[in-house]
Amino acid sequence: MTSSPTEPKISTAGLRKVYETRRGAVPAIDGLDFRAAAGEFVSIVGPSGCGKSTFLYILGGFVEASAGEATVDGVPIAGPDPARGIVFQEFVLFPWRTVVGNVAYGLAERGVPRRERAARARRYVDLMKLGGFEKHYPKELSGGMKQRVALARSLIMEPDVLLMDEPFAAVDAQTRLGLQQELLAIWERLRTTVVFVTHSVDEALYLSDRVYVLSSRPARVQEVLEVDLPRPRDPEAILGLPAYRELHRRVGSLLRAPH
Amino acid sequence: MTRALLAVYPFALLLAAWWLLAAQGVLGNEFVMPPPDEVWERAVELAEDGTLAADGLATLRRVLLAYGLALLAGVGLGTLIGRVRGVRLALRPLVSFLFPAPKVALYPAMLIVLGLGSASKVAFGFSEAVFPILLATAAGTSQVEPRLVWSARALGTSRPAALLRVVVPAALPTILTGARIALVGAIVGVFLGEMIAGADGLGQMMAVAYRTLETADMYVAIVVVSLGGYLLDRLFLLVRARLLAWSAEERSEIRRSARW
Amino acid sequence: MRRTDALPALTVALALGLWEVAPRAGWVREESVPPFSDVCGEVVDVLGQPAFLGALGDSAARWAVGLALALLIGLPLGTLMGRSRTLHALIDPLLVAGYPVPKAALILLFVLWWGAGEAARVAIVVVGCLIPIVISSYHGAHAVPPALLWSARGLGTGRLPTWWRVILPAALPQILSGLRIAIAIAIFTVLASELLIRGSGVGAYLFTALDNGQTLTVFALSTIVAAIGFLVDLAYVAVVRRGLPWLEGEV
Repeated sequence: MTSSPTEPKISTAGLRKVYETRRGAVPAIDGLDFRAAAGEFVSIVGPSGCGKSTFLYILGGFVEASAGEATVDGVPIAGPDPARGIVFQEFVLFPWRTVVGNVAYGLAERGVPRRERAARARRYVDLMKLGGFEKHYPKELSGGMKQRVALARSLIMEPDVLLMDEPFAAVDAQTRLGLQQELLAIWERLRTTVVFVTHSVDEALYLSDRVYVLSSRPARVQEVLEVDLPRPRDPEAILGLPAYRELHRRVGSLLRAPH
Repeated sequence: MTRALLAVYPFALLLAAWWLLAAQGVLGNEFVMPPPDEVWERAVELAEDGTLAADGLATLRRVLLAYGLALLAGVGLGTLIGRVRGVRLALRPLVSFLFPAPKVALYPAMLIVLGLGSASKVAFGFSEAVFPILLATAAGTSQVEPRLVWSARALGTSRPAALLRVVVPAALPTILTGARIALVGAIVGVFLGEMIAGADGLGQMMAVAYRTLETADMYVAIVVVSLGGYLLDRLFLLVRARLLAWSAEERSEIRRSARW
Repeated sequence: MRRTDALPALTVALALGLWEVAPRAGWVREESVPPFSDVCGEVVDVLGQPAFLGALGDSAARWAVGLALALLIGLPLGTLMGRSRTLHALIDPLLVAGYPVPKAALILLFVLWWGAGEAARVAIVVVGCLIPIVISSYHGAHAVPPALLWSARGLGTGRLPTWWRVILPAALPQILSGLRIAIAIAIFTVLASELLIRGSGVGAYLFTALDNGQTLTVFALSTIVAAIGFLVDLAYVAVVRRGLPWLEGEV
């Protein structure tokens, strides 16, 4: 799961982001060093509004850093790319396209012929348990289903990296657990590198190999924790493990009194 | 059932009021205000000798042309204004100046430059229709959720392609609100243009009838153009409902807000 | 930031420059499109003509009176519609049916019924801008958040007083939005009606110039009227913003 430290999949060094507003310069990120190895599941937690989403958007190539380096496979990030799929928390799906229309979107972009698009889309629709909803519009779907479609839409591109911006935050607790488990199952199979932003410590510890704890705005890395819990993880069982409780305590205190 | 009744009752009311006023001679004698049946007879006459069709089609053609051009220019330019800061800044003074200008005051200039034929009427209709579309498109496209665009970009859509594939569809509800207003603008522009200086068309029919005191023809012209406008508007709403079938607004909400 | 600040001025300069050069260079016929500087000169001339100023006064009076009457009728009607479902159900179809009618054209019928006097000329303005006023008043009154009304009632405001203490102020942004449109439509309607039946007013003045082939004057008048429309709109926005500092967003 870990790769040699000299060959990270994603790497940032001294990353800074400053926003120019009418009231002057507002720093959002202040020197972030980040590393994720190929196939790793890394979470980023931090206080609300600390800039963790901004960091993700920089990794996605939607926002440009003001200073510092951000590379994927050693190549600086130049713009959005299907190799770096992204799943947002909301406003994700194209409301004017059906479920299948959304899922197959990226393939259509790529010029994949219709029959193959349909076949592949069907596979991912089944994978994400969306069978029967192919012709539905996003407005007819529940929050959890929408996120499933969003995941399918990104995964169908077979990305090396999956960026997730609090994808389950807008979903009820029950559905969230289901989605988390499905995500892990898929990740175990595909071994995509995942960068997962969340404000839920439990979620981060349940899902990840490592957790970055950021400070409040402007964001800096407070600490990086190894989540050494054995896989596969049972969401209820791990709550009892002393290692888990220790990690939870540590992260919690870092978030409560960020420095 | 009540909805259909409510939709129809204005026409019934108008007809009844018209009949009453004409019968009582309130607004003038039979010449000044012919009763509806007389106007109907005249309309039939005009239809039979082909004048109504000729004039009606002339007006319709101009309206559709003006509207089509306004849609192209309005959505195209509006999207650029809404999405490209440079364009917005560059065009803002021109748009802000021209938008509140009464286009009818520019019509004589159009007549001089484009002559007395169809071109000036289409230009007038275009000038009335393009601004509501332009402004609605600029507003709608500038308010598209960035994460929607980013999702598309992350799936391989290039920047310019995203305008067509994401931004415009997402802004469609707003655009169509402006487009509805623009439809009436196009009709008014063309009709008035024909009235002020035209050789054919419904507007010209009304203006000539006024001058030659063929009063019944005046009523025929205004009723036909109003009815035509009403039908075009209904058609628009149908198309809009289809186009926005995916929209999160409830069907009934679309129909209700379909008023305005 | 700095470079793009010049963009608006640049495009205006470009447009005016084109207007100046094109006729002089022969790209367009000078008889059809007089150069910008010539038009400017004529504008100054026209503005000094007492005949024009008189016409302006006539048109302005019709515009003002028509607008005022439309407000007087439309505002109460629209706000009542916004608070009464029955009234809305009754009136709304009338608005929908009347909406596509080219109202300025009705001036010919008005003249037929009432002669070419001021009554017809003012009535057409009322008819022209009534619908936008009613619609925007309706929307404003309709969308008052119940929480606002209940808060007021819970603090002792009686049923009737909520009209001017809550509903009208809450509806104000929408109403002012509609008024802005109505102002422009009223200007349009005055001019259109005067172009059609002439007699007096800026529209008549314009038609005469057109009829006499005075291209330069026509362009000058068009420019003046466009400028008036622009300035009135500008002034309106400024007055609203100054007079109601609590207003959020655009009018």
